Amino acid sequence: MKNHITRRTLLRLGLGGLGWLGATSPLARLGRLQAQAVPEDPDYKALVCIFLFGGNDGNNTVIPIQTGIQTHATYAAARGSGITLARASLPEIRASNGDIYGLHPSLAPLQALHQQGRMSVVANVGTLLRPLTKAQYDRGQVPVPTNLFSHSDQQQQWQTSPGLRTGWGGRAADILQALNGTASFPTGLSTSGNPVFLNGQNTKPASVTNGGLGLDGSDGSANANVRDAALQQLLTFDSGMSLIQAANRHMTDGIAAGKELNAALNSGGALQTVFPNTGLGSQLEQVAKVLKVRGALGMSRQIFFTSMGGFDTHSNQLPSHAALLAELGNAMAAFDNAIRELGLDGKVVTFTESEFGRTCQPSTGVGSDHAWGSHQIVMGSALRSADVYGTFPLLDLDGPDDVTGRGVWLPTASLDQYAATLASWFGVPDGSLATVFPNLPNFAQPKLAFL
Amino acid sequence: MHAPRLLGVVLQWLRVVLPAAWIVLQTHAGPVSVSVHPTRPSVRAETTRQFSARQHGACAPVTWSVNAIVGGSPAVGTITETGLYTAPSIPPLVPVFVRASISAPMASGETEILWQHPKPILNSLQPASFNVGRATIEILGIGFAPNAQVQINGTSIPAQRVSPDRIVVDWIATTSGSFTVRVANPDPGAIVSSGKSLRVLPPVSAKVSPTTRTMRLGASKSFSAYLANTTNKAVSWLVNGVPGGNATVGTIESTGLFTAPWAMPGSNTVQVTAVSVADPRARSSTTVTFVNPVPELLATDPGVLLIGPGTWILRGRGFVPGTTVKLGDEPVLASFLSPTELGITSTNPALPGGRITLKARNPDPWPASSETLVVRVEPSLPILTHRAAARFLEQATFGADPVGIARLRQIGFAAWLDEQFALPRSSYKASTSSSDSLTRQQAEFFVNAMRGSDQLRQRTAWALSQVFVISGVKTGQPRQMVPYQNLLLEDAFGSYSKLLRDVTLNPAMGVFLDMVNNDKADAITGAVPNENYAREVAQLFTIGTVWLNPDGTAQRTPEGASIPTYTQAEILETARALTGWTFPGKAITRGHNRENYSGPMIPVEANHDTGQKRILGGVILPAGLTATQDLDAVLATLATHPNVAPFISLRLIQQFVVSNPSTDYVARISTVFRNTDGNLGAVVRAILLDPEARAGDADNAPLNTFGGHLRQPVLYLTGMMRSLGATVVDNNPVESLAAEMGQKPFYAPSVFNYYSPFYRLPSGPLAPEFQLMNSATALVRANAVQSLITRNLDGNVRLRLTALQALANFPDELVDAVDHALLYGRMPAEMKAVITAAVEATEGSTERVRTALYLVATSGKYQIEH
Repeated sequence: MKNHITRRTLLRLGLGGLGWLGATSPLARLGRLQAQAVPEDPDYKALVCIFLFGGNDGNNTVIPIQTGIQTHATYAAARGSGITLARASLPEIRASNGDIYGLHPSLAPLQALHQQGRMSVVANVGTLLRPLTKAQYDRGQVPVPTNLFSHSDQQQQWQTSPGLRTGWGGRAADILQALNGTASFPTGLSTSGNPVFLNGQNTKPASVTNGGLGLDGSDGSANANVRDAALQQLLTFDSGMSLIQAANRHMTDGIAAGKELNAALNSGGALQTVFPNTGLGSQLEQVAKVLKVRGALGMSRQIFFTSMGGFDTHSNQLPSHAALLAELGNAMAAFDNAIRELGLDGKVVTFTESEFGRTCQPSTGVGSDHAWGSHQIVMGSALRSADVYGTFPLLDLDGPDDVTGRGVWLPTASLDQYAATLASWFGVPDGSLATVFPNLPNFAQPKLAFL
Repeated sequence: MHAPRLLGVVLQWLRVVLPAAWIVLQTHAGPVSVSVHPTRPSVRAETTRQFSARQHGACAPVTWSVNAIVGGSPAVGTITETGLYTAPSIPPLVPVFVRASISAPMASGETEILWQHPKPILNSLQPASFNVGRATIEILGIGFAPNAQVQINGTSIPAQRVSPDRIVVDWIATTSGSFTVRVANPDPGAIVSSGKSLRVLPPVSAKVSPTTRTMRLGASKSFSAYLANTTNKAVSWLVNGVPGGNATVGTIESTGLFTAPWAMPGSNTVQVTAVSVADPRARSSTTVTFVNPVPELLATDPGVLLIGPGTWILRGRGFVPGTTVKLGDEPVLASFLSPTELGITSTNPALPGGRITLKARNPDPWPASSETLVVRVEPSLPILTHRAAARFLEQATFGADPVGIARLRQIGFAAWLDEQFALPRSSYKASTSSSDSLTRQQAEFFVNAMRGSDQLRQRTAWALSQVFVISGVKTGQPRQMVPYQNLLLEDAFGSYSKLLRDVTLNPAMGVFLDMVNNDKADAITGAVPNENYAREVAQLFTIGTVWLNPDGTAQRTPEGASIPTYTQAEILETARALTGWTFPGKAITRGHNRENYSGPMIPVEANHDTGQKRILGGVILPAGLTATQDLDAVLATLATHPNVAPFISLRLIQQFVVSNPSTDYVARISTVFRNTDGNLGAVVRAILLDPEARAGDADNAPLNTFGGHLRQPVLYLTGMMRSLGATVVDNNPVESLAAEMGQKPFYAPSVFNYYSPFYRLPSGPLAPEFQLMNSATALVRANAVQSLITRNLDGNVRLRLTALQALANFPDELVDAVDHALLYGRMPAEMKAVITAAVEATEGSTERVRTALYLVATSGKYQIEH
């Protein structure tokens, strides 16, 4: 869907999934907000997910230039003539072991962040149930997640962890929501619809998109007050039908939460950081605005979900992918500026997810097809150091890391390990990690090294 | 001669004859004598007189007696020991002598007393005043002698002396004025009383106010009567001489409240007369001129108007020749039958709300309109209830419009379906535009959805467009989108296999999922066949990722795992089988045609991978087949897969009827799918006529906890607009509202559509459209309603609320009408109570309608089509 978010200026708030079960009445929430007395938590932490829908081509996101196992030529040989990025065009980053990688030219804004120790790459992450080798994969000896190359299934699994119905962000929030004390504002906030990522067992996310924040026509006139009071009353009736109740809950929560967030945002003042006028730029700007009023909302932990679409680059990939990564890189760089402006250095970690990588071998039409393991970007000064974490695959078609012959990399880090590392930093105790990530015990090393 | 005078003569005589006795008696006594003074006094009845005795030659005690009775007696008068005499009240019958006697020496003297009538005294006259003419006057007082006379202004009047204190006269006063009444007692002692004033008034007169009056037939007005020269203000009322009047001329109460008749009497005037009770001669009349009444409407006959042309009776009162009638906004032919009946010839419209207003207006003189009468309008001889028809149309069309509901109620589901299948299709205007804008087509979509008569075909195509998705995100040129959408319209009722083939070879789909110019592996570029279409045609258009039972549920291994329908390797091979297709145009042997969307893609055999392939389902395609042969084999493999029937059935059921069909429902439709070789028209018919789809039609249908589906944004908008009888302009921007709600027409985010058929509420039930619903979009949806009903989407929608506005003063009727239009009469009582109260509390008729519409259209009860 084309994104028309940028022509809007106001925030609009909504709830995903179930809506959320506020412990206090809307009036009480409002009263608390007006008091404005809640101090900001010095131990505040936030996770910000940027989901790249369609399957980002990791092969053209982080490119080996000179590493222990391969060079740019290895890459170029596997990619063929149509979708190879020229070595000279690549902004270089250096791993701690001396390996040299290039970022996609559109990600040049992130090169500086890497040099400042604020951005890292986590290599070859994918959905796995347990570790396996290529031979095990070929023989079907070790179970793998269902429907590996299906957008819908893999988008779901990256948000939930394979086999689960709730989101790992939501489950982390379940564990940590007590840190938010009596705050009624949800721990999870989406700027992009109803992601399952934020649905927990007990915690329910909110979502914000650009647009109006309340009900049109609620102008305080006598007639409007009559209408709104009746509307509220109707929402309390139990129809006995699940779908009607769900619709009423969304409306109820929307009205209440709109008032709450609006009041908080009005107290927040303007951001100095200028964000690019793009879909992701606007979403991260909204996240920054909410971060700014975290005290007014009474938050100690927040998880945000943002997204971009269009990464399903089956054909004519080079120009479209360049535009997509430019939007990503520029928005992330601006967001990093905002983090510094807000004094949240070290308290916010931003990370990418995407349902799968793409075949290293090109497809007819100058594109690439659905694959598996891919590289993710993490950003924030909480990172252990700037590096390329994990095990980079050998870009060799039919090589040791390719499970189909088209350059479909067998992941060397599972989504669960990647996510558990983030959740652990966020505050989920080690003892609870297996609760949030039931597949995690299958892996010898539950956490990766980047945090 | 009078009696007292006669008595005086007798006494005079006695005094002449008897002097010797006095003298003898006194002389005989010697020197001692007694005399009584005064002598021969006159004494009026009941008055006193002091006597004294003079003694000559003695000084002895005196004893007083009257007519020899010491101290006297009542008949002759009494006297005290000191000589104080009191005259009797009535004339004594004998002469009366007062004597004074002494005993030592014995002597006495006496004198005669001359008794006189008392002086009469008038205390009061009853009446003291009266009107000119004869009157009986009672005179009350004291001292009236038996022959007392009455004088009025000095003239004696015959009178009946009833008693000493009461006289009655009968007198005729010929003039008004003040008269003096006296009573005269005769001799002895004739005397006249002092005067008492008697007032004679002029005759009683009456005057009615107002003196003339013009009033409406049927109206009530008070009249007053003013009476002069009487204290008795009572009047009786007549209308045209009839006491109290009657229904013909009007009736009048004793208070003077006159109620005009509803019908014009023979003349347009009547006389209202007041008559004095005191003096019936006193009367006054006023002329009442009747003008046209304010008509009153009671009911129509029959009580429910039938949609379409017809005649009927409007009952009421106050109708006159020339009374006009409006049905809603439209004047209708009204003929005067009687003051209580009009004959109406009209064409009764099918309106949102099923109610119409009637108003009658009387012409000059004094034109006047009736109050509004609300009447229900229904189709004649319906074979379906409103609810059943409306529910069906909700499922089968872009919304249940009042005209469509009325027609369906008369012809029934089967005939309606037959009609729809036979209708020519609305299609998008051909376009060669390669601009990246589908604005015109989006507007056209809503125009067809709102106005097109081939609703079922359009609705089916819209459903198919959400299964066989292409998106303006990648194929956003009119030359791409128009042929594709027209293809869906054309194939909507045809065979699934044809649709699958047409979709597969459509060049816009070719671009969208990369099958166009998808060539066999190229050793030079290193590119291999693109998997995109091969994967999605399997996953989304035909069989899905797992094996299904005929009822749509996933088949499971004994361990509970689902069973994949294909492997990644099969996708790769299928992609090879689908190579070699390019844009339509010249038949070529190598290379590609340039972009062209005017027909199906054509094969270029040189670009086709002719090797052996093991495609989906393990089917082996031997080496050497042409592009067409391989494609036919792939499509045949897919189309004949047992998954197709339940796979497509579930998706269409979800689009048309319900998010959570029972497995039996899916199984029944799957059977139809298989038995008809995938005839989509038959499948759609079966979906709509299935008992599960129709279960909610009954008035007392039990609530299905997991029933219904959320109105997807496009259908939320069109459904509301059609139910309210709205229209859209040609270049409408309705798409912008749908887009804000998450469903920008022709721009699904990806081939996975706007929402997943597997999206579930956290509580469990499938709810695909809820993927677009969160509290942000909940507000957006409410605001879209607000935009429609208050601003007509900035004038691009024509939503005439007139029919509902006419009900604004009848909150119950208004809410019932909105219930009828949007919820088909299913609004729960508690909801109705809240909305009715809100309507009553809202100022302004337009605002009242908006309040009712807003509260219903934003309610969960409406948002969930069920």
